[in-house]
Amino acid sequence: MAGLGVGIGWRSELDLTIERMDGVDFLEVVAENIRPAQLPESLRVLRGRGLPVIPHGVSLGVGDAQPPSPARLAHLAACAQALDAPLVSEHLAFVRGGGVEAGHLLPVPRTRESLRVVTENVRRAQDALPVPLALENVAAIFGWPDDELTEAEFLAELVAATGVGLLIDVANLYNNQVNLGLSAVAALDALPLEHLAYVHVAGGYERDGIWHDTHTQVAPQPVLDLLTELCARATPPGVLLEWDEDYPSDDVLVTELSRIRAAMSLAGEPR
Amino acid sequence: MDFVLIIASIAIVALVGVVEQRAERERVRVSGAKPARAGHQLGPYELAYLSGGPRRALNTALAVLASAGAIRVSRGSRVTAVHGASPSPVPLEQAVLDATAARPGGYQASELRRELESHPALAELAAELERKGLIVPQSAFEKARRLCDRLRFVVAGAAGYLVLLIVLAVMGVAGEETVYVGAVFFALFALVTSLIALYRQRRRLRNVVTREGREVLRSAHAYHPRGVRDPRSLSAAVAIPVALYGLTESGDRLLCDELSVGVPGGDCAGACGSFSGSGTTFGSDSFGGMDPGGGSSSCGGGSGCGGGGGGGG
Repeated sequence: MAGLGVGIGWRSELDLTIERMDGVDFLEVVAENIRPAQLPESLRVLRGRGLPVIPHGVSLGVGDAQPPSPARLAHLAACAQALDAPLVSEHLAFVRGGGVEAGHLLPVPRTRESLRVVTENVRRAQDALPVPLALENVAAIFGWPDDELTEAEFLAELVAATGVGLLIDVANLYNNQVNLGLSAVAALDALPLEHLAYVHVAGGYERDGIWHDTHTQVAPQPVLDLLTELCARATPPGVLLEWDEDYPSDDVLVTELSRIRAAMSLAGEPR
Repeated sequence: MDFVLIIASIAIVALVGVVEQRAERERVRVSGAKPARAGHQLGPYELAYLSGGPRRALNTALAVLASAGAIRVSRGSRVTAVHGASPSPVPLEQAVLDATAARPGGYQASELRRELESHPALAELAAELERKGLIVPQSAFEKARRLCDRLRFVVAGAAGYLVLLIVLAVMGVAGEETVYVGAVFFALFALVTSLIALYRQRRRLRNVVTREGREVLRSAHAYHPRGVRDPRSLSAAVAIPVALYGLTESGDRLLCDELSVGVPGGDCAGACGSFSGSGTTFGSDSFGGMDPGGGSSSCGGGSGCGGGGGGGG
């Protein structure tokens, strides 16, 4: 994967902000929010300046029991083509079953049987997409009772079977550590980081001992420490700040990008 | 018969002209009252209101807040709140902050202007300018408004007469001579011109600047020429230029383009560059109304743009 640098999630509210922001190397856009045939003017402007834009899907459901929808895959493929994207990213998540939408990016049951189904789903998605696919670890709000593998082990096996890229969200690792007691550093140790496509960083808040991964606050220091930990193990091709709603001033966003760069530089050369 | 009708049509056209002229003369008489020649201290929002009424004042607030990073303007003319923005001591700025904060997803700029056009902060600006004798109090226009009401009767009369012309033609009483076409033409002309005159006079009776107000503005324009911006303060760089000359002078072409969507005559071709402020200087830091420092200093007293009545006229 070519170097992407440091980027920010493009949102329509932030279009002019991002167009004017220094130090943005690449972008990600929620694929479900755009029409490939009619890209937002801002994305056309930014693409015109040579900034890579990655379509990021939030509803494909490669973790579902059923194969991913051809229509959703076609949309992702069309987004990738319209944006001339280097890759497409999605979530390793269960989003619907039996015609019912979960409304959340739920964790997949991490069993051998589930791994077989998800592997098949990922292969179908890869076949339908014109560019490589990367999958993101989710912020889980619970774990299935019969899990046989950790998320890192599950992802490692999936990567080994399909060659799919990894989009590691360090804020989600932190979320799972706070809410489910799953060690984030142990996850970083177990993940096949040589398949890292890029990294997500985001903020949230803690209330009554529960971490809320809202993407509406600055990233807490432990999340940036995890980014440093990750960078000590591998050089991520890109690191991207996610911010959804409650958008702060341009200055705050620029400072967040600086904090990300600082956290990356603290790692030194990867071990 | 048709000749009588065409004469009546021409008479109505003449009546429209006479009534509008009387209304106009009355408006000019009231707004042209001799200046009191008192010194005036005006803040940017008073100058904005004086220059372009509530819309200019609102555009000034939008440009200032956007340049300060207190609101966000995005493509599609969308204005949204910036989370964590400091409150403003300037009532009109705070009105914009409150409105955008209260609606997730924000407003179209034109929608926001409509939402706030009757906000008390604007009414207070108008009242203050009235107290200073710079805009004409609404009460001074009672006679002009009565003349406008007469214009409304003329509109109704012209419309009624046009209907009568058609009815007479249908009944076979008129319409045999070719001059009937002329009668209809003049009746239509009378209706259209009276409607335009009514609209024009009503519009002119809102926020009418007095002679003294015009002198203050002339002085302000001389003191702050178009195209001259001091980037060291948000007030001098954005507030006063936009107040006096409109959004084209915001110094930010993209901002002007987006905020001007739906503004008649909004042309941002002349605006260029981008304000490079740190995003913290709106509100009291820069021009909390009559603050003698920062932006208001250049607008205060007889030495600045607001001194028109005192000697700067």
